[in-house]
Amino acid sequence: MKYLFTLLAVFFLVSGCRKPIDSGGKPGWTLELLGPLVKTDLTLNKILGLETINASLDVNLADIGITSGNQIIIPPINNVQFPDYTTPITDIFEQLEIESGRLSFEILNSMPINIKAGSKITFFSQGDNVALFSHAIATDISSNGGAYSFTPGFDLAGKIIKKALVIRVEDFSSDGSVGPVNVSGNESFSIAIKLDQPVAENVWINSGNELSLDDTLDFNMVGNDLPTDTYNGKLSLFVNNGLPADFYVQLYFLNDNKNILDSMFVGNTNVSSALINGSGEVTEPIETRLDVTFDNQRINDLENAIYAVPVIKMVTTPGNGTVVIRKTNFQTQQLVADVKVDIQ
Amino acid sequence: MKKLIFVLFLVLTGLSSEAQNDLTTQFSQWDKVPGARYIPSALDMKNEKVQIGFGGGFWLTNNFVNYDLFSNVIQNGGIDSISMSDFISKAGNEKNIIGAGLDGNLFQIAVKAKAGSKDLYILGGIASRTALNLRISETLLELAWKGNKQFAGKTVELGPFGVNAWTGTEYSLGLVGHNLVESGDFNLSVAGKLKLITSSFALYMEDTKATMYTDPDGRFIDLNFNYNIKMAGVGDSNFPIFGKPAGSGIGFDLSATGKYKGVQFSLAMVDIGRIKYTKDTREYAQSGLVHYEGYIYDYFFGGSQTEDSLNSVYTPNEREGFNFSMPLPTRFLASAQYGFGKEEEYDQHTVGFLFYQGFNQVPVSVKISNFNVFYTYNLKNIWRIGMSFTGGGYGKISAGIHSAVGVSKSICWGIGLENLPAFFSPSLGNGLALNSNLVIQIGRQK
Repeated sequence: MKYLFTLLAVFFLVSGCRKPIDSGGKPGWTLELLGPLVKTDLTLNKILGLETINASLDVNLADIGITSGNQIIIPPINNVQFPDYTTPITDIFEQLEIESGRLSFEILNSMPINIKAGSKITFFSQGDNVALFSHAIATDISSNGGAYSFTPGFDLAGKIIKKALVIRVEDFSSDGSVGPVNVSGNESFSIAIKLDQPVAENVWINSGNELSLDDTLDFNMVGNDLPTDTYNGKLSLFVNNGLPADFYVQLYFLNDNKNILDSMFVGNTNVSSALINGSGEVTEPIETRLDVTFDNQRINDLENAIYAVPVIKMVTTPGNGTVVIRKTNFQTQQLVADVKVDIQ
Repeated sequence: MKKLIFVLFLVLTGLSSEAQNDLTTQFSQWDKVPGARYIPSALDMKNEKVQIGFGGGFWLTNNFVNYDLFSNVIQNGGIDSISMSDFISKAGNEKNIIGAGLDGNLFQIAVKAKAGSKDLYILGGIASRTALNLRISETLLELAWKGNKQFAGKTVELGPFGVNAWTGTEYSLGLVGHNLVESGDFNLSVAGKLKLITSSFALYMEDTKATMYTDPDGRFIDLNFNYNIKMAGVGDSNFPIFGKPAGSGIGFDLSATGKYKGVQFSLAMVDIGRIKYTKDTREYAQSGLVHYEGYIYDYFFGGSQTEDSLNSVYTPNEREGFNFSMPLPTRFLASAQYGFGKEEEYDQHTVGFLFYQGFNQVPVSVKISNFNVFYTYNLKNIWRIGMSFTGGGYGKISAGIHSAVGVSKSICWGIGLENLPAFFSPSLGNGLALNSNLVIQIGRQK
């Protein structure tokens, strides 16, 4: 936010108040400034912006043949395997190699029977035969609301997760129901898995995939104590793109009714993708320069703006498979001002 | 009203640009205690037993800004490009300096004594001294005025830049051996003064240099800088000027004056020594090479600032409670004068020159040489009046008049008026100063 206002203050500065210098009036002089304002790097984990990865599913008793019925007694169950369950976890990437993160899962038993210690739960990335991890429940989980949670202690570094997770429940055992119970056929226990603060080492994203970031920020230049001199000039956004994706960058200014009054960049707002090889790997960054000039109408629009909406759209480079963004790939954005200030 | 102020400004500034060193006293009162402030060996008490002097003055001058800039500002209601371009073109070197001072010769005394057949003068005095200077390069002025784009693609030296100031009280005790050596028509007088100086405030900044490079596309600015500012007497309980002493030191003045027939020549070294500051001291220092690529943010939109490489420039390392010393404004003076039109006890006409050279940039001193020529007419040994021309030092080429008049047999009032060309053309004026002194001569027989 602080940067946004710095940016907008400079925007205003270079665009200036609308008073043209009066050639027949007070004397003045011109100050010409050239230099960088702001610089930032867009890296893999900033793009993903992942705080947690969550997945959950229900494991139904019906899947092991316990069907509906009134006042039936569910017999003890010993070492039964449920069919595999698959749950999607993201639509952003195809697969992600983890550098670090904190994994945990929780079981909530809503069934009228308990879950006995020793029942085993195994997690796979979809399509993999090698398990991400497997865990045998250490204590019985009581019926009708019993819970169990576990945090694996192993190192997640190098583990690869894919966009869907397969959960396998095997060696499932229970003491059965205590007396007759009504069974609707929807009796289940849930498994929720959570990866907190994941840091990615590499990520594979489908070619031509689109990610968008929109946000609405309060914006009000009215009341700012700006000098009454005349400014004009140019802002240049230099983008050195080391990511395998095209970017479209825009900042919209909205009025009180959230109608667009103006946009920061005019014309081409496309930042070209880095060059990639056949494996979707970045081979060479590409630099793009976007220039912004201002006129009095645009300054009017700024003064009337109540909201600012930054929009960044990222489209991975089209191809046959996936592109890979490694931790070492990043995009550098730098805003440079070339300002002429007519001082009265 | 603005014009009236400007006229007053001109009138005031007509009073001695050479007050930067009270040099006018050397043109009309070289043989009295005001002149003995710098060249004590030239003191010639003739038939007086005691001289007591009082005086004071202030000065503000520079060697690159003329009155016409201020005149244009007033006439145009502001500074315009032409005025400022003209100003910068006149500041076209790295020796630009602005100096100011406030001096009070609170008490000066010279007492004649005898040592065998020779006259000895015992000198004493108390003086308050306050001065400051500012050095600023043409490039820095251009940067401030026109911005940095003009320097794109070039490495420019922004220095030298320096600000120095100090204030103190000087207690002096000296001895003049008048005509100590006599050989035919040749006489030689020598003098030395020991000075105890206490100072309540100092700002000491040796010349700072800095280079700047602006990328032609504005992608980065490289700044190589090195500055060190030492201050003393800046404690919360101590008002910077006229406060409690923050330092003290010893200084010496040495001079010799020879006379041969109508010619008198003098050499002097003034303010040899240093002041050591021990109280309420602070230092602000920093150096380094900054490669500035803008404020570093973690996200392009809505992010927060994570790094500011320029921060190292304006965030100095601070130190307190240490000792440092600052040299006195040491300078060398050489003068020669020739008197002719001999009357019974005096020369009706005196012509001469005076040269001074500073050895450092401590206020009052300056490394730029100053040269003066003067003429003084003596009217019946009651009124000396004359004219001088000067160039260099803190100021530019200028001219003035000086006067010392005996308001009674025992009292002499001296004043120096310089910067007279400013009355005729603002472009020739560049100073603001006023000084005057009074000498009481006791035991005068005639």
